[in-house]
Formats: sequence, structure tokens, C-alpha cells
Amino acid sequence: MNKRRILVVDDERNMRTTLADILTDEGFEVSTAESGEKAVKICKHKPFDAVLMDVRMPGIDGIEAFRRIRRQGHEARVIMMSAYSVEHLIEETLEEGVVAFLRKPLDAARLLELLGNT
Amino acid sequence: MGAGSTPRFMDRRNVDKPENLQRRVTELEQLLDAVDGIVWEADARTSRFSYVSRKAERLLGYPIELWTSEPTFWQDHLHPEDREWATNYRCAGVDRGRDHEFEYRMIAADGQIVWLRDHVSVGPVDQPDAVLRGVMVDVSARREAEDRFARHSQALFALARSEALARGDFAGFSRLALETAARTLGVERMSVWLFNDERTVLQCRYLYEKSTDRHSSGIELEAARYPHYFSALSEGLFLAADDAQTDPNTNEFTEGYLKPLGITSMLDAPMRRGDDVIGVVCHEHVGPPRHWMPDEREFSAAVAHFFDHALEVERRRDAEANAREAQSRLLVQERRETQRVEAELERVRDRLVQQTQLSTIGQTVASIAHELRNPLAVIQNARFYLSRRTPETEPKWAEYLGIIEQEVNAADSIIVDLLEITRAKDPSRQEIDIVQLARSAFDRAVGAEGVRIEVQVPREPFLVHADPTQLRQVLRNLITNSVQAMDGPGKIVIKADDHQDHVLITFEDDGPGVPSELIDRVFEPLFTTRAKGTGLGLPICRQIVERHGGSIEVDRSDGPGARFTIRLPDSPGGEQATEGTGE
Repeated sequence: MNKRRILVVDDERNMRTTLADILTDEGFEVSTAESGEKAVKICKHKPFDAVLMDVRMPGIDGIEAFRRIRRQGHEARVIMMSAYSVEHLIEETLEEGVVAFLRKPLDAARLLELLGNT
Repeated sequence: MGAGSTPRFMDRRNVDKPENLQRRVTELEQLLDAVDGIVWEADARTSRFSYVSRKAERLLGYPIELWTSEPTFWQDHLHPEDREWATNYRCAGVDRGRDHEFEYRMIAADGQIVWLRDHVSVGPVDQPDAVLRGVMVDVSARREAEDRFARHSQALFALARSEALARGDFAGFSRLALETAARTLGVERMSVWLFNDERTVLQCRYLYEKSTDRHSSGIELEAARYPHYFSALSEGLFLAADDAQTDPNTNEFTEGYLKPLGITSMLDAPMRRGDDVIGVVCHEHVGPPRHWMPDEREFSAAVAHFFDHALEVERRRDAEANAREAQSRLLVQERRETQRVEAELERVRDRLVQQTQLSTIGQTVASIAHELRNPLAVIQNARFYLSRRTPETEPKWAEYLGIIEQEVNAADSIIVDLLEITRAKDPSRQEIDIVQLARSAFDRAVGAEGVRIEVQVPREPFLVHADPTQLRQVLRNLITNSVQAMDGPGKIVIKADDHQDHVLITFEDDGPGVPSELIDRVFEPLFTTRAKGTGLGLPICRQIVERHGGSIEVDRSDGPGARFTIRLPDSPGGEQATEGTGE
């Protein structure tokens, strides 16, 4: 059975590390990226089943990164996460194909539940 | 003196003819009797009359013989008050040998006083038979007129300087003036009447009756019944009716009024304001009809003029008093309004300060709060990871990881509160059941173990028109506030009820209550009496409720138990009232 591949995008190193460890423990093959640009680049060469993307990051934000990834024809299920109020973005991006918006701190059980359905 | 001007009895050419003498004496006596005065001759020393003309008898009523037979007739019939000085005056004139004139009173046979002006010619006084000759002229009429004039002047002077007139006290002036005029003119009934606005009725404002010394008022006369009298008055005529019962201007009153009261003469002086006749001052004489003397008419005209003046002063005084009263009412009103506006301003200013504080605090903390979420998120992740790997042999690890989770959640809910302030989101209203809302808010409350909640509503579901998320937060903040205040087991009672155009929600706990000195401060941002808590829960409640067009207050009661009252408008009508305050 192929491991499901997941890309974690966050500018916080500890965030990337802890999420990567949790997901690896759960059996995912985890890659990480510290910016939206990096994420877009990685996605160009490598297919992912899911992308877990922070919204606010230096450079292009998570929303923009998600759109660029989509434009590359990448089919990954994208889950957004944010420490900020992003109500104004939710409706729009859900329509564009974002699977879910998660608020930080993350409810990890809920995250795994979402990924389980992937 | 030419011959043509010499009287016949003085014609010297015939003086020596005795047959002419008696005729001359008779002619002389006729002449002396024709003089309008008593021609007399008396002893210079004793004043005993040796001759008086016929006029003496007519004037004083004593027979001529009495004048000449009584040695001291003159002295005896002088007025007692004049006797001494008049006698002395005459003696002095005789002593100096000078002619003199003087006026004195004599008592007539009928007891009347007669004023006489005596023109005395003093002849040579060095002989023992020296005589005085003179003419006494009756000046009573002039003297009476002078007396009346003095009385009238005195009366008018008294009225002019009366306190009542100066004060504009028409009633007081009327009493004084009516009494004064009645006494001065010797009139039985004095009254003052004023027209109504339509001039159809004369109303008796004040009436004085001299014989009984009684004041009254209130009679009315209708123009329709006394057309002549009213039309004469309206023309401004001064009515002087010597015989009021026959006078065309006053005889309308004869049967119904004059005869029953025995009134014979009337004198009515019009009162005026500018060109208008506004009333009348009436003099009603009882007794034999009297002739109204010109000076009496003038007096009554002057009194009427004083009445005009008194009325005008009263009118002005009333107008001034009204103006003053209106002004002071206005001042009081203005002061009250100012106080109200100031209080309102104060309130608005306080609110504005609180809102500004809230929003400034909000903006500052929002960015911090957001930033805090990132490390919290990492901690949470780390905890999750560790909890998955905790061996069952280490129960303490699991317990501590549980504590970390609780505290991360607690920290996060503080952040939620802080962020709520900056959101200032307009409520998106819908019909929601307050019972369910209260229960779900209670279920999410932290540390509410041992606290019971009771929701009392007149029916279930009890729907209110509000933003569910926001109203839930209000209830949750209140519950959290109560739970922290009670700090242990307790009871929360939430009641909701309909009112005319709003819903009242009361929220009570059995904690220590809010000290009355803190009541005004509990809604201030960052105000808290506890170590725990952000001091933002209640300000957020107020912000949300006010965004709904409602209000929230904490009840003033020094006993235990806090009680909050929330008023929420029934309909969306309340929204307009708060438009623009959502930011």
C-alpha cells in the first residue's frame, strides 16, 4: 500500500516539525515547505494527496499559493489553517476547492479525521 | 367829579331847603338798602351799631332793631373761633386810625354760618363820639368754593401719593379712592365699573356705601337693558344728572334701581385708555337732589383719571409679573434642559471613551493575540504527539498532557474574547430559542462543575430576534463571570419574558453580588476585581447587546447575588437606532 503523501506549508519551523511528526506517526509521507513559493515549486515536481497550508506567510500567502498550485493542474486536497480571523476568505476559497479551514491551535483529531477521508 | 355824576341827595344847591331833607334821606336809605351788603355805622370804641341797612336782616335773619339795641351785637354773633381775633383786629385798626378789610364768620339766626367781608372806614378817632362805617359783603359762596377746592386738592393729593396706586393694586386703590371720594363729595354710593371686551356688559368691580361703610362688588349691567346709558357712556360723555330719575341718560334706572335705593342725583365720570372708554366711576347721591358744582365734576373727572391710571399700572404690573414668571419658568426649563443635555453628554462621552478604549485595546491586542496563537498551536501539536506516545505505565504523563491541553484551550478562549472586541460585526439576526442558546453556552463554560443553571421562560421555545453566535457569547460571558465570582457550587437563573416592544432577559447568580460602588465600572474595558479574567467579558456583552439596539445593566443591590438585565428589541426596528455604532 502506497503511503499517502502530504505537504505541510508553514513559515514556523516548530509548526512544521510537530505537524510532520504527528502525520508521520499516522503513516503519512510528509514533505514540508517554509513558504508559499516553495510549496508551489515542490508541487510542480511532486504529486501530493493533500496539502496543509498556513494562510499568513511572508511572500505569497497560502491562498495565493493554493491558487497557483491549482493552476498547475495539481489535484491535491488542500486544507487551510490560520491563527487569524479569515472568515472573509472561507466562503470564496471553499468554492474554489479548499477542503476545510482549520483554526490554530489545530484540533489534531479533527485534522486526522479530515485526512482520513482523503 | 362832574355835576352829571352827583346823586340827587347830594346836590348841595338844595341842601338848605328843609322840604327836601326827608326826601333826600329816603333816597339815601333806598340806595343803602340796594347795596348787596350790609351798610353799617357803629361806635368806634364799642362796636355798637348805630345803623345797619336792610340787607342785615335778610342776610343773617335778625331784626334790625336787635342789631342796634344790643350793645355788643356784633361781638356776640361772631363765630366763636373768630370772635377774639376779629375784635382785636378791629381795635387795632381803630387805634391806628386806618381803614381796613377782613373776613370773618357770623352765626345767622337759623344757626348757619355766614362768611362776611367787612370793609371798614375809620373816621377821626380822637373824639369821644368817633364812629366806624362800613359794608359787610357775603362771601360765603366763595369761601365754600375755596373750602371745597382745598378738600378736593387734599383728597386728590392723598390718592396721587397712595401706595396702592404706585403698586398697581387696583383693588386696594379702588377701596381708598371710593371712600375718599364719598367723604369728599358727601356722596352715599361710590362705585367703579368696567366694560367687558364686547362692551355689552358693565361689571361693578367695587362699590362703597358711605352710611354703612361697606364694600362690595359683582353687580352687572347689560347694555341691552340700558341702551341710552350705555350709548352715552360709550360716547365718553361726562354724565352729571342733578335729577337722575328724570335725566334722559339715567332715567332707565329710575324704577328698578334709583327709587328703591333712594338715589336722586348721579355723577358718572368715564374711565379711558387712550381714546377708548373702558369703564365708569359712579357717584350716587341719596337725599334731596343736589346740583353738581363744576369743581365737583372736575374732582370726579380727576378721580376717574386716577382709576384709569391704577388699572393701567395694574395691567403693566401683571404683564411684568407674567413676563417675569415666564422668564423664570423658561430659565428653570432651560436649566433642566441643560442639566439633561449635560447628563446625556456625560453619558455619551463615557460610552465613547469606553468604546474607544475597547477598540484601541482591541486593535492592540488583536495582533498580539494572533501571534500568541502560533506558539499555542505548536504546543498543542507537541502535546498531541506526546499524548499518542505516552506509555500506559506513566499515568502522570497523561494527566499533565491533559493539563497542558486545558490551559492551551483556556489561553485560546481568552484570545477569542480579545478578538471579539475588534470584530465589531453587525449582528445577523434570526429567530433563536433562548433556552437552547443558554444551555449550549453553559455547556461550553469552563469550570462550571457544581454550578446549576435554570432557565425560566413563559413558553418553549422562547424565540428572540438576535445573532445566535453573538447572543451565545453574551450568555457565555455572563456565565463565566458568575462561575468565577461564585468560585464553587452555585446556581444561575436566566429568565426571559415579553414586554411591549422588547424582550427582557434577566440573569441572576447567587455569588457575592456587585458592590454598589463598582456598579458603574463593571462594563469598563479591562476592569476586573479578580486575578483571573481579562476584564473584557462584560464590555463585550454590552457591545453586542448595544449592537442589537438593546441595553444591559447590572442591578443596584447591595445584597448577595448579581443580577443583570438585558433588554433586546423585539423587531428589527431597533437596528436603525444603532446604525453606525457597529464600527
